[in-house]
Amino acid sequence: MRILVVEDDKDVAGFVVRGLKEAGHVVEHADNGRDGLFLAASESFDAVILDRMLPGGIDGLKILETLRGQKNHVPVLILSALAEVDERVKGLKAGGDDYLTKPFAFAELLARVEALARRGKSEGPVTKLVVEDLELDLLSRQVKRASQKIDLQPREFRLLEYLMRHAGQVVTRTMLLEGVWDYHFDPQTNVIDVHVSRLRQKVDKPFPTPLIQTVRNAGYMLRAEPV
Amino acid sequence: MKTHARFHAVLAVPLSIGLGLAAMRSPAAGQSTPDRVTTDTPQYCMQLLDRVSELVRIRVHPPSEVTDLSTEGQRMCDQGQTRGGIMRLRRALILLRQGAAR
Amino acid sequence: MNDRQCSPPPLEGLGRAADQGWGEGENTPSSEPRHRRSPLWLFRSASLRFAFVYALLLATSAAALAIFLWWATAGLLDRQTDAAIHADAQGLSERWAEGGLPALVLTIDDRLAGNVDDDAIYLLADPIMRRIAGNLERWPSTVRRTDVWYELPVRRAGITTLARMQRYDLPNGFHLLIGRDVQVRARLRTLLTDALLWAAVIVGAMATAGALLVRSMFRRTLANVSATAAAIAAGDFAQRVKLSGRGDEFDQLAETINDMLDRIVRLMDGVRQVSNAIAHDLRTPITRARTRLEDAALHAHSPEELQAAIERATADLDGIVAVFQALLRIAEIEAGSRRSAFARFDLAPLLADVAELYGAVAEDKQVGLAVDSPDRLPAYGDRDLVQQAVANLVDNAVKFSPPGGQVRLRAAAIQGGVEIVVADQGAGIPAGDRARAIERFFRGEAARSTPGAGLGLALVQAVAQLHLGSLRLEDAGPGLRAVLTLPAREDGPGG
Repeated sequence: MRILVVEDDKDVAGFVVRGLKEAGHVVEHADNGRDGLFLAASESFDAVILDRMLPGGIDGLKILETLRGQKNHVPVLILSALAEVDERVKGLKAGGDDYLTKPFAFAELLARVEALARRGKSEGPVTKLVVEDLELDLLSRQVKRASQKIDLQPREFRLLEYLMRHAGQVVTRTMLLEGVWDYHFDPQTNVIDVHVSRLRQKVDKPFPTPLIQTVRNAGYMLRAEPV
Repeated sequence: MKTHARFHAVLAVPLSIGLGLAAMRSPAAGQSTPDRVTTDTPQYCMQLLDRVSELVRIRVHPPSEVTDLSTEGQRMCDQGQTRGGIMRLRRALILLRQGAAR
Repeated sequence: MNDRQCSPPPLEGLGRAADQGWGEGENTPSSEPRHRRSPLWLFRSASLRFAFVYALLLATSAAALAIFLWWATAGLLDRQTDAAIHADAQGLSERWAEGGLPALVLTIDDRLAGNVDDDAIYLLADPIMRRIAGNLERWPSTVRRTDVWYELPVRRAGITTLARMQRYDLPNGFHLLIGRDVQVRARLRTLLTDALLWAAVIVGAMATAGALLVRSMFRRTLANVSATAAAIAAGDFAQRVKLSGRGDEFDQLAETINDMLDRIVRLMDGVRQVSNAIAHDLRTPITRARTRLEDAALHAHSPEELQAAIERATADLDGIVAVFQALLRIAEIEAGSRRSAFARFDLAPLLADVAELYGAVAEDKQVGLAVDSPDRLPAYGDRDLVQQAVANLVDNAVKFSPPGGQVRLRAAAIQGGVEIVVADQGAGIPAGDRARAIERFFRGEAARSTPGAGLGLALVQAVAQLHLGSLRLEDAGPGLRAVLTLPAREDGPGG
């Protein structure tokens, strides 16, 4: 994927750009607001990682507002040291699609950027999610694996749905908390892990191939091949 | 010093109202000598007495009040109390006129 | 943070104002001589403006009363006299129209003869101003215009009195002068004017006294407030504005200011707490991370050992970052800016969500988690904050419950609000520690072995305070019962 990184801190930028390239993406980098806006407006990217505090007179939010004003709907992940809820809201209101505070774990950044980019390419509303032999019917709220019915609680259903919608991508614990439980804080306890392990009991254990993989230091991923 | 200045300033308002009122006290009176009224003389008294007598002669029974008043009025005019006499004679005239109207 | 930025500008402004009009040079050695020369300094002082307005109002009311009084008495007499003169003129002109000059002369004589009050003045003059009939000696030289009222002195029986008269012109060129004696009215006018002049002086004196009184009341109250604020700005935080006990608007203002000062003191205490706690309690994990890295640098032999050490250090740093995040969150909540985002929401699904989230963990620990709440429980506030507060309480309860224990999450509507109770059967908090448990970084003895930085309850307390509610910690015999109360109404705590 083509990703634009607009970040003025040399260390952080270098770290991110290198990591993204190693993950197989094509990366462009701008270290100030003006260049960043120029690049974002003139070339097409699958996702943009945008720092808020930039030199050059144009800050991240202004870039975002300009892009959205030009009807440019490229997925943008805002990276910022400003962590207060009000700042999050400001960033998302300006047109951002996701907000990650510094310091961050690279795995989290990668997982969220890939999820964003893929979200931009979705084909429209789906009624059924299929990964390997696992089928999830969104209309009848039924789950089947290898044609065997699996009984899930409503929350477990939602958890599995989220994993399946992001099949093949890293899903961090924070993303699950936000996406499945609408919980925006770090619970400091491994609540997610317990829920995922329960889901595994129902979805993976009775079957030969486990689909829910643990990604070390990152989160989980739904796919057939182990990570 | 400040206190005095403030005191003066605050008093200015009611004083100006007072002065305005004082200005209304006496209207312009630029006349040198006042004109004299002519109906306060003994001659006028005689004129009124004549009138009263005239009317009494016409009336058959004049009320006693009229007689009293005219007698009194004449007496006062003779003694020099012109204004009082004129007033009584005038009252007598009015009574006579009222009686005539009835 | 630059300390200088913390001194609040409004208090400085009050201090400066105390130098200007309010101090009046009595207690401030540094009053500028500049303002003595400006004539407008009178109006810069608010208390003087109030006093002036009061004096002006009093004087205006008195003047209005005086004018009305005048109009009702002397003015009335004037109007009656004028009406009588007009009526006379009307009657006489009719007579002239009926019977010509002789009839007019007769009528004038008749009227004079019947003028018991001896106050009428008639004068009929020919076109060259020669007297024909009436009781005035000659035509007064100043009476030249019609439709104008003249007030001229006349001599009656040797006395000079005042007469009000008007000229009327007959169509044949003759002139009529009709008037009335208005000496009585003139005397009344003089009396009234004298009385009102005295009244003006008295009003002036009362206005001054009243103005000074108003001004001193004003200054006293404001001086109280500004002195207290100045004392606080100087660092004495125990000062509060005195209440007069009357419950009036000034008392309400004083109470509001005192509330604000209490809040400032609380915030400053919070800041002090945090800086103390940060200095003390964050050193530990920072030291640990540093030690591990140094140890690895000195003693690690293989890349795997180095890798492991680096990963452990990263985890330590993450832990420190999480503590900072939580601290910042609590500070943000305490700053109160979130109150503007308050809205109505339903507590029941929120509780169900939290219970469901921690249900799995509880089950794994063989701790029971029961929820007891009505199907719908309306509440008012910040949904996310309340969610985090409840989650913290449930997290604590599950964390400190023994296997086989029971955690009860109960919510109900109470008088003027909503009550959320989280009770566990764990070790509880000893009575002496309960007050301190909600301080940042406080960890009781029993909790030393469990993970966490001791910020959970501090956050719940901050959320409770932001919602103008409360957090109570009670003994559940055995175990701890945490009671979170939220007022349900928009106009603050009702119960």
